[in-house]
This record gives sequence, structure tokens and C-alpha cells, in this order.
Amino acid sequence: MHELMATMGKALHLLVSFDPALWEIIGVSFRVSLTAILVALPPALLVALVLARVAFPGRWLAISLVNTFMAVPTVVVGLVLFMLLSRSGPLGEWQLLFTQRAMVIGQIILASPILIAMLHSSLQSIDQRAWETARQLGAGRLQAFAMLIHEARFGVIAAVLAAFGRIIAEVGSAVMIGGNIEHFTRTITTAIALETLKGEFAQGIALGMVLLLLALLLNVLLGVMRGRGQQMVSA
Amino acid sequence: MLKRRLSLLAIAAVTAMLATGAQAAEIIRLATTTSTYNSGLLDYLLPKFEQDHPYQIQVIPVGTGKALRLGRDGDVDLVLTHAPAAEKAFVDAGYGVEPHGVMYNDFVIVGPSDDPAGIKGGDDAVKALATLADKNATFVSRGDDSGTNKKENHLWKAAGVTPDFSNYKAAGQGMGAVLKMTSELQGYTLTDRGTWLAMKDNLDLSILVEGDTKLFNPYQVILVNPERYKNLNTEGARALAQWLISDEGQTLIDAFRLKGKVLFHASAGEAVDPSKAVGAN
Amino acid sequence: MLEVSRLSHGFGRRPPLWEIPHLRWDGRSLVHLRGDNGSGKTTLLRLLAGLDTPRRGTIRWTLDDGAPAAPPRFGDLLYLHQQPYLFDTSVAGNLRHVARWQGWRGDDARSRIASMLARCGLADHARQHARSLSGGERMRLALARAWLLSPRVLLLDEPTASLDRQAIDDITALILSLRETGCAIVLSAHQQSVLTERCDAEWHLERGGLQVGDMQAGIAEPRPLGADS
Repeated sequence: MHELMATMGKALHLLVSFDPALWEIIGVSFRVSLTAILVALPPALLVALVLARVAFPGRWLAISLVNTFMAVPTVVVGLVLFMLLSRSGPLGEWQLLFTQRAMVIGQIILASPILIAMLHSSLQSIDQRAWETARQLGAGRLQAFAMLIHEARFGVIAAVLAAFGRIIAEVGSAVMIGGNIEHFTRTITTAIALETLKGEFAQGIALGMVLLLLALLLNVLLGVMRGRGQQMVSA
Repeated sequence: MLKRRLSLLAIAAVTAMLATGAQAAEIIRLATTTSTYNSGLLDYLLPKFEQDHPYQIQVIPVGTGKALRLGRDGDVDLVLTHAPAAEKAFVDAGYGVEPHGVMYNDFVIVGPSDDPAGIKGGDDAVKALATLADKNATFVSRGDDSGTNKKENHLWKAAGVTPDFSNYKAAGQGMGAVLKMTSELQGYTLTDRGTWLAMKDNLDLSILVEGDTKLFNPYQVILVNPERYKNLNTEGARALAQWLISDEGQTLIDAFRLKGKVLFHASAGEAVDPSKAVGAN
Repeated sequence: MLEVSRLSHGFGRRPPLWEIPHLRWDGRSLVHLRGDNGSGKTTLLRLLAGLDTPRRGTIRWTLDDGAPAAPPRFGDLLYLHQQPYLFDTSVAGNLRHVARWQGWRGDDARSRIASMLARCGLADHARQHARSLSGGERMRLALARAWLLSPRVLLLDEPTASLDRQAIDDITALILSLRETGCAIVLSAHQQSVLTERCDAEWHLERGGLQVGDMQAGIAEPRPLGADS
């Protein structure tokens, strides 16, 4: 018990004293995950819009595929990407393995199904009249699309928060294709998973606290967004 | 009726608990390094011990740092590790008792077959590392405070180099993962010979430096201090330790082969003889 | 000028809701589209607006001096839903969206919006959230939004349904003043009201066909299909 308290104390100290090693790891995590979300969002919006608005044969199949991909374990994504990016793999020439870029790619793959599924359902819930009204009032296709996203903004933000929460907390693909390299591809989760093997728990606890705080923050934001979204529907 | 069923359930539950409790007394928990575990030595040795003794051994493969930490926290009954300095500190601090040398093997420096940094063929590990740092070659370090990592840091220190060149990558992962990374990145790394032999068929790497006495890698078995924790199976732990350094255990260790190669040299009761590690295959 | 020939439409495998062999309209008057619930008023208005494609037949609009065209140009011709869709923002914000799409900027946009809000009696509600408006106010905002574009023709789907007396009077006044600015209007309503009484002509959807009548004479005189209005 005493040991646990001492470790917690040490962890808090690392956090509030802005321990550079600790905050570097946090920085890498956020940089990688934010980049992944930013890159994944525009295509996800487009796909979600098509799924929500265009009736094409096999649409239900596409939707269930997206839902299936949501359930793929992160280590499987990591393994497949590892084999693709490996020196002996088809994309080996890109020399991306064990770089932040590779991690971003992995996280894009992990984030996209969640983004698409959640964006799809929120865009679908926007009234068909919204598109017609905007187009009749002089909006071009892109402007009308932007209007739809604006109307669905709480759903969009909720999707982004949920996807961000998933990828910043995932460890399977981050270890496999990032490699947990210090100053470079070491993220919050890979550090917790592997650095504690050293027997130094304080840093792990501190990083765990960051993730926990982040999860709390994201959930509160999500709750607020849901509230706003429901108000919007009922209004 | 229901009451009777419930009491039957309760009896069954208590019986089950007693059974597991009785079994728990026979379990020995051994923390060892991943490299030892991956070599297959324990899978070969321990069943032979279990045959003749009323114990069941649970092996927990972790880095040396974590293994000693598990011992310090009383989460295991004994440790089998290969980091002399850390082990000495462990015993000196009173966390462990009855240290015994069991065996040794050696480390090798591996890298790409075409060896861009040109360290091949030497038998001076320190000089080789200095060259790698000098040429900013890609070097993947365990970076996990393991025995191998401690050995590596010791060698950097001897070379008078702080390993902060830009292509030095501290991976914080096990030996297998680090070898795989080294192969992918076509870099260099320090590895124990056991993991190397087990994995080399899947790697695009070669041994470049071996045979330096500084690459000598002694293993010790240490009991967790029974005065610090109740509930330790010290009796079982001592039986295992004594068996490992007995004639029977030592003969078996010497007879162990990995892919036809000798990997470990029994060394109980001997003065440490680094020359035995040279050219160990 | 609107010219419709051999138009029919329906849903799925069901028989057509109605068939209109021929219809001509000068596109200048105020028309009451009459019909019971389910007679296909909304369907007809949506087809005329170009929001849906008819199963059979053609629709030709000639607005201003242009050549007859099949898909009506958005902006000149506007269809307003029975429950207008209001964007999730303030009353003024709804108009600002339109101004942005029209490419109006700065003071020009601001003055157009301000005068339109005043015209439609919404100036006091400018900052209010659009979706908190009452039914009558919602319809007024939808009209204001459309009016910004100075359309040639407005197609209104049940603009006074489920409104109270006062709101109906307000909407009627607004529609009449829109009419005075030269905007032709077709409005559907399944029951008579002060608004329908002011209409110049009546199109009556019944028994799967469209009867056209002139209201100027005081009494609607249904005439056979295909007659000029």
C-alpha cells in the first residue's frame, strides 16, 4: 500500500513538474493521433455522405463491411500493415516501418470505420429537406454538402472524439509498426505496455493518468454533444 | 429443495478452494529473462525437475529489471537472471538470498551481412560499438533495462560513448522484437546468442562480432528473501536452485543444444572463467 | 410560362396518382392547387419544381425571355416544404446562408437581410434560434429566405396548414405582397381560407385528373382539361 502511494506520488510529480521525457511521449501520441484524424476525416465524410444519400446496389453490404472493420482487433491491423511495410513486403521500398508516418497510417485504418459509421448515421438523420432547401436557395453541391456537415456538426464532433479516443488508446498496432522507439515512436500506450517491464512504474502511472483524464474529457464532451444533438432533433 | 442445492454448491465451492489451495503450496514461481525463456532451456530442464520433485513451476519471462522487481515485491519465489551488478545490489539490499552462479553464455553483435559500418570480423566489442557511433550507423537498443540492455550500456561506457547519435533507437522491447526491428531497418544490435540462434533463420542479419570476453554473460539463481514475505514457497525455490547447481542439473545444462549448437556452459561452483564464453558455438 | 404534357407519376408498382394530358399556365397569377389529402398535390408541386423526375411526360418552363427548359433553374423557381426546413442557426443566420450562397458580401448582404427581416416582421427575432419560432413565424422565415432570391415562381405546399387565424392572416398578407412584386405563386391547400379566396385561379386534383378553373369571375367554373387558363 505504501509502495502504491509512493508510486502515485512520483507519477503526479512527473506530471506537474513537466518531466520532459514524459511530455515528449504525450506529444508523440497526440501528434500521431491528431494527424491520423485530420487525414482520415475528409474521405470518411465523403464516404459517409455517399452511404447516407446515394442509393446504389450493395449499399447495405458496404455498411456492414464498415461495421465489421470496426471490430477488427488493432493487433491484426498492426500485423497486416507490418507485413505490407516490411522490407520483404510489397511496400517495403517506402521504408516506412517504425516511423511516425507508419503509425499514422495504422491509426487512419483504425479510425476510418468508426468515423464512417458514426458520420453515416448522423448524416442520415439529417432531413432530406435540408439538401433540397440548400440547393434551391442557391447552394452549389459543395456548399450544400458543407451545409449538411454543419447541420450534423454535433454528430461529426462526436464521431471525431470517439475515433480519437480509440486510436490514442490503442497499443497493438502502435507497438508493431511504431516499434516504441524512444524520442520517436514511443507513445503513451506503448510506453505503458513496454516501459513498465523495466520495473519503473511511476511513468506508467503518470501516462495512465493522462489517458484516464483524456478519456474523461472526451466522454464529457461526447455527453455534451449528445445532449446538443438530441435538443436539435427534438426542436 | 433449493436450500439443499445451495448447501451442495457451497460444499463444492469450498472443496474447490481447498483443492486449489493445496495445489498452490506445490507451485514454485520463477521470474527469468525473456532471453533465457526464448532459448528453450527451461522447457528442456524444468520437466525433468518436476518429474522427481512434488512441485510445479510457473515461469514468468520478463526483462531482468522487472524480474528483480517481482522478486523485490515478493511476487515470485526465486529469480534466474544475468545482470551481475543489479543482482549484487538486489542481494546487498536484502531482497534476495543464497545467490548461486548456474551457467553462462555469451552475447554477439549482429548486423547487415554487407556490414556498411565495417565492423565485421573483429573481436573487440568496445571498438566495434565506438565505430558504429562514429559512423552514425542504425543501432537498435533493447532500451528496456534488461540484462542485455545493461550489458550494452556497460559496453558504451567502456567505449567512452554516450549513445545519443541520431540513428540510435531505443526500442523498449524484448530481444525477439528488437532483432526483427534490426533486420527490418538493416541496423546493428547486441543480442544474446540463444535468441539469435532461435531466430536467425527469419532474420536478414549475420554475426559480426563475437568472442570478446566482455560479451561474457553469467547467470545466477537467487531466492527471494523469505524474511520479507510470508506465503513464499522458499522450500520449493531452494530445492529448484539446489537442483540447478547439482551434478544432475549441471550435466543437463551442458547437454542442452539449440539447433545443434551448445548454448549454455554449466558453471556452478567454478570461479568465473570468461574464456569459456569465447567461441561458444 | 409553364407547359405540361402527358404528365403522370406514382410510387413503386402502384398505378399513377393522376394523369395530366395537358396544362398551360401563364406563370403570372396566384393559383390555388386544391385536392383532398393524398390526392397528389405535393407530388405535383415537387415535379414542377424539378425536385423529382416524373415517371412519364414533360414539364417545360419559360421564365423571362429564355427558351423553354426542362429542369427549372434553382433560384427563379422555388418549392417550399409544408414544414419548411430551417437551418440550425439563428433567424438572421438562415438568411446569411442564402446571402453567402448568392455571393453577397458585407454591407450589401447586411442591408438586404435587414430589410427582408423587417418586411416579414421578423426583425425582433433576428437573433432568436430559428427552430424556436412558432409555426407562423417559421413559415414567414421560409418565405423571407425565398424572397431574398426574388424568385419568378413560388410553389408553396400547404403554407397555412395547422396555423391559427392570426398566423394565416399574416402569411396571406405576406404572400399577397410577394405577388405584387411580380412573383407568381402556386399554393396547395386542402381547405378554403382567406388566402385561397384571394387566388386568381384554381387547379383541382380529383379522381386522378386536374381540373382548371378561373376564380376571377367570382365562382369557380371548372373547365375541361387542356383548356388555356
